[in-house]
Amino acid sequence: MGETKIVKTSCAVCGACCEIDAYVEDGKLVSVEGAKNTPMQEGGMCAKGVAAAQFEYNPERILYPMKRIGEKGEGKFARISWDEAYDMIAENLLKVRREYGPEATVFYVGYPKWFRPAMLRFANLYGSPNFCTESSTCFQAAALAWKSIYGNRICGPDLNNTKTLLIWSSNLYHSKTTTSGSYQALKKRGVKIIDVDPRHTVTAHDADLHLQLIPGTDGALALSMAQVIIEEDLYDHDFVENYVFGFEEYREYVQKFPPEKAEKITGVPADKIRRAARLYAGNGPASLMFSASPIVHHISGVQNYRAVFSLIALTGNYDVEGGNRTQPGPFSPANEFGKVKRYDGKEAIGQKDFPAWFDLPCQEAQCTRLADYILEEDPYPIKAVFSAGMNHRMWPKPGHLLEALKKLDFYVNTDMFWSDASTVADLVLPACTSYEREEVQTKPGGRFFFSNRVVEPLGEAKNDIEIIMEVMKRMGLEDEVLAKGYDAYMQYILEPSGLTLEELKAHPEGMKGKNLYPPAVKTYEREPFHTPSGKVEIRSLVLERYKDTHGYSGLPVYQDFREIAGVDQKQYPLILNTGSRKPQFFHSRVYRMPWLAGIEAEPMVEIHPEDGKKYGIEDGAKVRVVSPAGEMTGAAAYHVGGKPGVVYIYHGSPHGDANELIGKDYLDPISGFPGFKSYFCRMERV
Amino acid sequence: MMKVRFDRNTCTGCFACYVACIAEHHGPEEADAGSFRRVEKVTDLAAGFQKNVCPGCIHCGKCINVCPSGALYREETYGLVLADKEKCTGCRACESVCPMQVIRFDEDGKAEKCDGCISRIKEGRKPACKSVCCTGAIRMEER
Repeated sequence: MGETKIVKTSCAVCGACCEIDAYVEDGKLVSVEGAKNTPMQEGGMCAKGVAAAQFEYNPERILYPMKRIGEKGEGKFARISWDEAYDMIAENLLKVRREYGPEATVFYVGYPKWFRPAMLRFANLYGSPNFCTESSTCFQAAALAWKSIYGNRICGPDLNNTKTLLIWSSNLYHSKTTTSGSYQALKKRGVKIIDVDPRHTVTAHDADLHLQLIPGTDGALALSMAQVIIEEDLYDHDFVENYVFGFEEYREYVQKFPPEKAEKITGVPADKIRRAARLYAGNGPASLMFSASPIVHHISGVQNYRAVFSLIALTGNYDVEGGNRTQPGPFSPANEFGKVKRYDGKEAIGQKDFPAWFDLPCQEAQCTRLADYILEEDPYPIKAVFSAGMNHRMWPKPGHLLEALKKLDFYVNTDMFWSDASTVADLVLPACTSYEREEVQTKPGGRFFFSNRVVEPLGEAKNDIEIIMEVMKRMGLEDEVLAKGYDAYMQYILEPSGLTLEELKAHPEGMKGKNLYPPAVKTYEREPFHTPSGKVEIRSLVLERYKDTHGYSGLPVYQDFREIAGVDQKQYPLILNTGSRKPQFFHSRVYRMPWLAGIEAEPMVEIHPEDGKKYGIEDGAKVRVVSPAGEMTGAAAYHVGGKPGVVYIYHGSPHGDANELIGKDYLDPISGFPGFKSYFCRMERV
Repeated sequence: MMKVRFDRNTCTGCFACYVACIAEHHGPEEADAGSFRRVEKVTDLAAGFQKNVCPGCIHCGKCINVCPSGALYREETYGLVLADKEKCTGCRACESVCPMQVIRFDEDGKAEKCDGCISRIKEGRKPACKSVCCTGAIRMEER
């Protein structure tokens, strides 16, 4: 056995990018530990990250550039050289641009996310407005809801100074396992915790107050809390009078949701709604812990989240110590992420359907209906997709997208694994894992971290950005930043911070930027909100632009999915919730890792024992779940943490994907997000 | 001497220790490899609450007392309870007294158990399960 080296790097199994101490022997990754003394990390890891060896050395890794030799989707590929692959891409993408225009090529980034700005540069220079990411079904709708009110990026909770924390649908013990210690520390400090979650999770179990609502009714609950806060005069008059637009209409509207009425809609006892409202408004400073997707994975998701986010302004907890802050810690500027603008000189896909997505710009197009756009050639023909990390299981009715991808003239996917979305491609390229590449990472608190390469790339895997750079070179596209090579690119990211790549590399524990700005409060006193009115828009003027054309409302109105879905609920009496986090899974990516996939039966259909008895389905029995859109079979598992009448299935399993049950047009009309977490189904014994 | 604790109340069922144990003792190609920890469902019907916990060996030594063949013993440096497969007769007496129910048996019926990650401890590292645990549910103390 050779010498063991410990190298500072990062895990990229999910999106959190936890810092890792990797143990390497004879060039092999043998063990990983969570980095210690790192903000928000105390040395622990999650189940997914600690299975690193089975991720790195997975038999499904793509090792070489592979060209399709069979029919589309047949899965027959032959190895080619990188040279041949680059030429093939250049030739095909130039041909599509020549024949159909640049907008006919969609540039897509799935997981991981770190090279998004480089891909956006490629799309821009090629001339396509269609740079898209997996954010078309994850997180971005939450950002949109926030931006429609406050005009900026989502402000996180100032945990160090908060007295009351309102967690709205985040089971952080399972979704952000490494932050468990921070959560426990809040409790030890005496912070009051309110948790809103349809299930009695471990996170809810540790809260002072748990509001167990019916999935998708978040808006009614938040409006009801607002009704209590206003009626009992617990709101921040100064802030509301000076900085809020639309308060009078909002005050009037929330009167429709007194707690007794909200109880009927949400299933949360009126008394608990009152207690939560009083605690959040009365025991300040209070902050709200947001979550990426659970609230916006409903067809009324954006308005529901707008109702939730409005509570921050109502109680004066915006940008104050212990509230939700623009800059809770020191900050050091960096290039690339959030800085590269999308080319918008042409209509993008999704723009007609979801205009607010583009008016509250997130610098990407909305591709939730990508399959339709390809198949219907509407708004124009889509002929090529250049993607990295394409995963059709992020969409509702994933099979529909897979079929559409087969219709393309040219589809290339770069990935680490032979996913199903790779096997329908014309060309597949091998990507490095985070253990095989170098990366400059920006961290909270003005900190930067250099993630080292710890092992040589498997096969001929390459760093995604270096692939993009070479493809652009072959096409004669010269981007001033990307043309200078990868080291120069990392240096460019760091430049505004005042750090050099060399000094960051020499500090494996990470460094604070030299250009460091102190934490800020009440930034709104110095500059207006970046909204049309210059104020906090509880009534959104951006949404009101589309009142007549799209039926959007400026106020955070509540529409109940059970009333507007148009589904016969006698035939489909159960609410279906897909994709609520399980600690061992991350979308569809880790089903290929037996150490994780083997922990529990999968796909697992979690039902309340009462429903099991009602429908004659025993714990552990095989069950068929049928929705208006499809069906699947899985193993029933009794779970008393959810309410009777709701079925929970984690998505993305190759053995039965719950997302096949979700209708492709079951979308939030504002964001285009699928209603993954409140559709309808019935269960049958198999 | 090491004292190992497992707190079921603090455990959130994140499975990190369960998987860390597999990763520590097996190579990535061993798809069927098992953990020396186990998954147990805990249900509080009245509270409508349910979670998983992942108990592991606390090196209490109850198994040593009942082992007729001396296959289970306490090693001297750290006080960890280890299994010597050569000596095991497969009588399963240990299984019946194990308070955590974490002794398992291989294809030949020989006892296998947590080794406290003794090789890691010798290198000055913490056991794999303890090292990943984010909640403090697994603790090791000198006694």
